[in-house]
Amino acid sequence: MKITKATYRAPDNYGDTSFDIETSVENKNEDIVDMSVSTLTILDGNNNTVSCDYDREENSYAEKDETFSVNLSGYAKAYLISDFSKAKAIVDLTTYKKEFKKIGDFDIPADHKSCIQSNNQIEFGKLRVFGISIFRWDPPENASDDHSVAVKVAVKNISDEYIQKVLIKVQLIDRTGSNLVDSEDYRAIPPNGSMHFEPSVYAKSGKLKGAKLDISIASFHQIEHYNAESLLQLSKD
Amino acid sequence: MKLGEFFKNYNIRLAYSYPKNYNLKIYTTTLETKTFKNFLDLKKFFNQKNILVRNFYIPDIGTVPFNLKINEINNFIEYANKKSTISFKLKNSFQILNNTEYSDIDWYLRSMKNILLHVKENNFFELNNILQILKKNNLTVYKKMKALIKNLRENNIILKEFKI
Repeated sequence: MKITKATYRAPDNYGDTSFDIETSVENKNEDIVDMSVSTLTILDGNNNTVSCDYDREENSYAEKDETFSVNLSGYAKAYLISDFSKAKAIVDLTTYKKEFKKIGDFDIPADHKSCIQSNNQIEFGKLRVFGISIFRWDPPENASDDHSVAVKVAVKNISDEYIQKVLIKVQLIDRTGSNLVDSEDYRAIPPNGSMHFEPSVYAKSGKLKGAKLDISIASFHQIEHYNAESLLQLSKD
Repeated sequence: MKLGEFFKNYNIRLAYSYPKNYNLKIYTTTLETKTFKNFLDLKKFFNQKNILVRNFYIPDIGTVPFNLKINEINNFIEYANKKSTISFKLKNSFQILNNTEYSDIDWYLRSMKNILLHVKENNFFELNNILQILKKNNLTVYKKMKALIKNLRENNIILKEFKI
């Protein structure tokens, strides 16, 4: 990984300065990169923390020997840096590969007092996906407003690997087969830990008749970690 | 514009929101860019309404930076979409040669090889610009690029049309 641009802007009228960082990363692995998560740390000349841009998740894509770029930004009060010529940017970035599985198509419960359940659990790579419960929240005060259909599913990480992202996606498919709306819920799962996911979709009551929920799971697993640092330069923009 | 409309228009979603069944009336709030300067202000607004939001994100792009100004969301999405174009990749790959170390030249050529395999006629202008800059500033890489383009003509027939 290489930082190809690391600049700061002269402070504005409020005394705020901003930082723009661009990085290039080469995937040297056989695994395809589907996602990157990065953190930018800005330090002054004495390694004091000035600014941070963290948990920046990006749908980066790179096959073997391909390069992708990630941009990061931050801002801070300019008085936090006494000497900009000594300030530096540190970028930590991790790449992830994706695994995907369709869980199934499910009917929509007829009302908010009934539910649909899958009655089975599946194993998916390093994950155990417990049975799914589909239910409807209480109807809205005005019946013509959108009604909410939600999915409850617990997922256990059955490995010793920290899994950065597990994503449950639901797509509401109407009776004609059109995708009406989709929604996701995603979280990290620590080794041997379990997490609860509850994605939900909204639609008019009439649209829910005869509709189906297409539910799938994706997980993102670490490939490689990179870091780089660079001194900051005044932006020419 | 209402908050719900803004989220729908740009396909912006909430990650790790809690509670799950919050009152949807929050989406009828008018999005005043004077009040909500950036996405951090939006997160704070949700928190004030007892809705915890860890991130805003756009499927197929990623998380939205908190310091991104609300009225710059369009630029953010356009830039993210541009990243998959050959034109962007050509320019981006060229950045590897900034403050070049010896090993970066090999990296640059590996990266260019992948891009050149997918180059179309409408990328010739950018490719030519890169070659002209290299010819002026880095003759070694220029010669290697020329050789690379010639070698790849068998794999990407469109490169046969590119005159060096």
